[in-house]
Amino acid sequence: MAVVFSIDLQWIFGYFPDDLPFVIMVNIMMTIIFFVFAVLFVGFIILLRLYKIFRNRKKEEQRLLLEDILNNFLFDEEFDSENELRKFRNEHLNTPLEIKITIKEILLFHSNIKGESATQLRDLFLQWNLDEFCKKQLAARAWYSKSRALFSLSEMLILVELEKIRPLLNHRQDEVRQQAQLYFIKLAENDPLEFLDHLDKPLTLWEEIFIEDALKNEYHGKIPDFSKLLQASQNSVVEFGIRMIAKFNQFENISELLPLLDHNSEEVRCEAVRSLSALEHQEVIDTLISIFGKETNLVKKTILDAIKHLGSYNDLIMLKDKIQDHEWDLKIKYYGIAQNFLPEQRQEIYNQYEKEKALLL
Amino acid sequence: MGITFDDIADIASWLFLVYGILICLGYLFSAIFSIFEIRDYKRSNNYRDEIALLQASELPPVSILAPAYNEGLNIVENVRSLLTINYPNFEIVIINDGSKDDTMQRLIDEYDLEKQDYLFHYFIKTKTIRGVYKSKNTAFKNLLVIDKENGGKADALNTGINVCSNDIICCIDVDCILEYDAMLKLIKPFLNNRKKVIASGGVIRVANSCVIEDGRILEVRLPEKFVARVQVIEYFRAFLMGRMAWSRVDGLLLISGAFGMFDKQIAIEAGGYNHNTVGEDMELLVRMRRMMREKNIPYKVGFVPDPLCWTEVPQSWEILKRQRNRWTRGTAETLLLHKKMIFNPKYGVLGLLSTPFWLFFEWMAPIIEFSGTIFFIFLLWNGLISWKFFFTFLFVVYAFAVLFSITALFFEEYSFQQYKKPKYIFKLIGTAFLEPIVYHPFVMWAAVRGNWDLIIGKKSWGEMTRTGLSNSSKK
Amino acid sequence: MKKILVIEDNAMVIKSLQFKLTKDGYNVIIAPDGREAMKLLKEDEYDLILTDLNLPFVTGNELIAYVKENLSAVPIIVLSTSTQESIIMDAFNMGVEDFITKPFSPNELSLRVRRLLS
Repeated sequence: MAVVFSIDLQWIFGYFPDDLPFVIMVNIMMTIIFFVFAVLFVGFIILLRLYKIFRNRKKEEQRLLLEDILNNFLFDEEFDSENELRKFRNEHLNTPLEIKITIKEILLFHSNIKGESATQLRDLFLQWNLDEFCKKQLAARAWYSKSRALFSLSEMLILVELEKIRPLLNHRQDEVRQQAQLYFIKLAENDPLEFLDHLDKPLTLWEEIFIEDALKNEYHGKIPDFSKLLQASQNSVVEFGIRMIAKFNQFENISELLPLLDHNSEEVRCEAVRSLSALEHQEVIDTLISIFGKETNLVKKTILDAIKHLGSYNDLIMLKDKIQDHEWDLKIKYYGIAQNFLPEQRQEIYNQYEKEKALLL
Repeated sequence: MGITFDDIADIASWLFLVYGILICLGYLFSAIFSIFEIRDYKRSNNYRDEIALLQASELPPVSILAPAYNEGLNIVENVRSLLTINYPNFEIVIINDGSKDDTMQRLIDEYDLEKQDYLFHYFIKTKTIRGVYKSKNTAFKNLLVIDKENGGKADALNTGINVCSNDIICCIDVDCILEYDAMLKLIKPFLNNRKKVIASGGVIRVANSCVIEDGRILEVRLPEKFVARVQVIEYFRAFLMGRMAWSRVDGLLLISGAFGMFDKQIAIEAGGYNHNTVGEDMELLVRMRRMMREKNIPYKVGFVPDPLCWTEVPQSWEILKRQRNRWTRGTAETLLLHKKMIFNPKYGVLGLLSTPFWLFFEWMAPIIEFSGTIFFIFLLWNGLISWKFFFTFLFVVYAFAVLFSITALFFEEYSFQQYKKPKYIFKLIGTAFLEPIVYHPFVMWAAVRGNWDLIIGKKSWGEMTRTGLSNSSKK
Repeated sequence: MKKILVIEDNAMVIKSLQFKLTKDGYNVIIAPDGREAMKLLKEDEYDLILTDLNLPFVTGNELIAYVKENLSAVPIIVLSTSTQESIIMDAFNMGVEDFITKPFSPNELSLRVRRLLS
């Protein structure tokens, strides 16, 4: 190796005058190398620019064509759908780029509308065989192809063998995992959250937002009984279940929520308080007051919010002595809620806070 | 005598060389990491319109803190554009840092403000609050204005932290221009992580010469002035190559003061912004990270590669000089305050990679460069090296600097391509070739001066001098 | 011909609304943002306003407040992605005539427009 290296160097340095010191030769070489790379990159930049211009032009053309044909197809009764759609397919659905843009446009369109028009769009998707393209993408190695294919298929409610999708729930890329989750919800006939049992990582809030949205807007079966999630091994799933019980007004599950006020996870306890409050379960007030003293700061804040929502000024004052001298954030919250309960005494309450402040500081 | 001097010269030359090679390697690695990060980010863009879903979801409420000092001229418009931020649940907190002009009066008049007895506590010690104002008009119900005694930017932000009501805060320069969905993008790291997220930052872009209307960028244009144009390239390098790479290895040390989100509780626990340094934005993040590490809580700092915020950069050499002077002092002060972390394996990537990098390549680079130049000239003067040597060496450095900038341009072209007109690209390439000659020596000199000012104990903010700083130290 | 002002920033939605409502026999005028809408409202009269809530420059709420104060006879339909109860209630409290959430059914929207304009 070393021999080859020295030979190579000698061959290159042969071009330099003999009397040049080594360092200078290295300098000249490096300068040349750097400049060659710089010029190469300038070339890349220009090529990239040309490529993008071409691609964007193509995209825009395709987009305009689609906008036209889709609107005509959906809203114009005199439109000769059969012929025009076939013509479009033959002329404008040949390259992968054209197909991708078409899929994207249909999906975007679909995401804005519902009802009969949405169904018509789905029929068109199938009629143009775009589902086949997506299925191929799903089998591709690249994770981003997979995640896009999953999204397209789930939006268009196209059933693929679930056994192909299940492993993707624990894919190493978050995007793929998420799309796989949503696929299961959107295509489920019942029990849309069954997949939660198979996750090997906790849910993130981000994923939960999308799951909730899919449950509300895209899943058409019976809303599941979320109390099942409360037994899950992952706390994130438990928290999600608690929240959904409130979001979907499952009053029948209140009794399942109550024991969670003793859960060992702070987050779970917070969620439980929040959901009980959202479900207007006033009976819990006494319990909340009794556990307040031994709770963490976060849960205390949540309890104060719950009292604001469910309780009265009389409930609130029960907490007064349980707030410790240094817990200023709780005090501010406490007095704020007091003002809320007794708007006519705003000023007095404020003075009381100031007095307490003066006393303690 | 001659021999010893030669030896020293020899050793020094080798040191400079090793340093140069290290820098090249550092840049090479950051370029490689960045390109992967950009690629992954581009690929993660799905067909889905996430923004529409997010603006309709229940996201964590955010308090947006914007300090204002003598902003009377534009404050009304600036607040108006903040109020149209696209986010489902937010509060705007304007902190009037004892302006000497009519900032406060203009706000009161325009937004129908009225002083309120507001419940708050000085969780972080700050200057006295004179009053908290809210609007009588319900259309501005999420606007809060704090009038306080002057104490500098850090102090103003701390006041905002004390008074605001939400658990996530977004600190922002009142005059910077946000992309329409900036907040929705910046919150994403907080939502999509399995570790506790303590902060997130985005990419800052140069707003000079852009067409701006009512607080929105209508058309992205390349700055007409050379000084500003070079900074476009500097920002490309810093964000597309530097921070992108640092974020990939979880070693980010800086979230721009112009636009960043923080977890309020962690910020308060860490002690808030430090008003004894001019680099308060960098210092806070370092302190927060250090605290998390020392408490052994797994955490994360998020970074969003999208351009989210546009800011006006200095157009005049004089202001640029002051800005760089300040940046250098900020870096040096931060490193000094946290010198314990440097090379300390206990702090992981931060200790072994980030802080040493900042020490050697951000803070010391101008100093080493400067002394190197002096040294070379000295050698040349005394006939100890030849002109050939001097010039070939200069060429290498020049070629490398150009290559590095061109790479950054390439990354921009590959990722966001904000400068659409073809003539912009050629202008930028031209600027990249000029920068090492015309611009770089100037900022190097400004940085050297910054270090000098630090040593002789000058602590002012230059132009934006913000009163005598009280020296009540925290911790 | 009845005139409808559509205030919306999503190009695709604009296009569909324009297409559908024009087919239904209305004169559709588009404003891509709140500021443009304010300008149009000051220049001309409209029979109905169809607006999004998240708008650039001038928020939907400001716009609604303006219309209700100065042009109280003009009915407003909000077309928004928000499904949050508080936002919908705020809108009705400000006096809007109807609230349609996105994704929306174009046929249903067309019906609601017709009802308000008859």
